Amino acid sequence: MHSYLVAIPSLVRGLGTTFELAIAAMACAVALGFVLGTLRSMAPRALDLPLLGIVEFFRGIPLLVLMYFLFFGLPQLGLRTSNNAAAIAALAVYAGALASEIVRGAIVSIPLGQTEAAAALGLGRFAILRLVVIPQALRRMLPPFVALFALIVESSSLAALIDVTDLLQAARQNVERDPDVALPIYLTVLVAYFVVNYPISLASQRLEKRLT
Amino acid sequence: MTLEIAFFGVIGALVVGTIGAAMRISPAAPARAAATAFTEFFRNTPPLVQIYFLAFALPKLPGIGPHLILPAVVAATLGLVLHQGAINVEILRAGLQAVPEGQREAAAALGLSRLDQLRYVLVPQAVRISLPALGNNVISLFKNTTLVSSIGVLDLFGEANDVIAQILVSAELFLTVGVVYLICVTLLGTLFRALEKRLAFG
Repeated sequence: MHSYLVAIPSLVRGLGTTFELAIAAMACAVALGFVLGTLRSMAPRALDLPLLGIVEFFRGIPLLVLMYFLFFGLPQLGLRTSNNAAAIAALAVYAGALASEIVRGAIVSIPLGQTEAAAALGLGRFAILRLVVIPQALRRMLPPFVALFALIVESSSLAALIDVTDLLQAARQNVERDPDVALPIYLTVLVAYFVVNYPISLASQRLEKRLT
Repeated sequence: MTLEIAFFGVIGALVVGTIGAAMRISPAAPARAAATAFTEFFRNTPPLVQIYFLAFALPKLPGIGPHLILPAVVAATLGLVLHQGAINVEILRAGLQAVPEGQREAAAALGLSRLDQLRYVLVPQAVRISLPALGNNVISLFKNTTLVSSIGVLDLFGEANDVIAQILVSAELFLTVGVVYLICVTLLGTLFRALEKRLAFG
C-alpha cells in the first residue's frame, strides 16, 4: 500500500506527459491533415497518386516501427532526435495520414452544386474552397477529428517503449522498483486511460448524431 | 510468430465480437449492460496497457494470481483479442441493427428460434454490411501485433530488434521491417476489397 501511494505523484506527472504528447501530435496532425487532404481533393489524378502513396505508407506501417525508426534509426543517418520529439513526430505523421483522409472525405462529400454556384458567382478556386466548401466540410470533420484525438491518446502509450516518461512508462518504473504494486498500478493506469478516453469517444458519437 | 499471433488474434476477436454483438441486441438487460461495459472499457484503453496488465499485473492477484501466470505470447494475443474484439462488437452491432427489422420478423414468423434467426438470417446479412469495417480492424490488429515484442515475444519486429542489438544497423532494418508490414497490409486490403465485391448484394 505504501509504495502504491508513493507512486501516485509520478503517475500524475506521467499523465501530464501523455497529454502533452497527445496535444502536440494532434495539433501537427490536424495541420498536416488539412494540407494533404485539401491538396488531394484538388489535385489532378497524376498528382494525386504520389500523395495517395504517402498517405497509404504512413497509414499502413505499424506506429511502433515508425517510432523506433525515428528514435533509433535516424541518429544513424546523422539526425539526433530526443525521445519526446521522436514520439510526437511518429504520432503526428501517423495521425496526420488519417486526418488527411478525414479532410479529403469531408471536402469531397460537399455537393458539387455548391462549388458550381460559387464559381458562377465569380469566386476563384481558393476562394471557393475557403469561403464555401471548407466551412461546410468542417461540420463533417468534427466528429471523426474528436475520435482521432482519442486514438492518439491511446496510441501515445507506445512512447513508453522509447523511454518517454508518459503514464505507462511511469507505471513501468514504479513496478520495476517494487513488483508487488503491479496489480494496483496497472489497474490505475487502465482506469486513467478509460476516464480520459471514454468521454472523448462519447462526445464524438454525440457530435456525429447531432451534425449529420 | 507474427502470422501466428495475427491468425489467433483475428479468430479470437471475431468470436468475441460475435458473442458481444449478440449480447448487445439481446432482450435481456443484464446481458446488454455487461456487453456494453466490456466494449466501452476495452475499446477506450490502449491495447499496450492491456497487454501489460495481463502479463504483469494479473499474476499478482491475491489467491488465484499465481495460477494466472500466462506465457508472454498468450498474454499478448489475449490483449489484442480483447481490444480488437471490443471494436468488433461495435462493428457487428451496427451491422446487425442495419438489417431491416422485417427480416427478423419474417424469420420469427417462420418459427425460427432466436438463435436460428441470428445464425441463418441476421448474421449472414450483418457480416456483409460490416465487412469493410471488419477488414480495417483485421489490418489494425495485424499492425498492433508489433506491440507483443515489448513483452519479449520474438515476432517479426522483435527479431529485427534482436538483430539490431547484435550488429547495430538499425535504420536499414527498421525500414525493411516497415516495408514487410506495408506489403502485408496492402495484400490484406486488396483481399478484403475482393471479398467485399464477391459478397456484395445483387
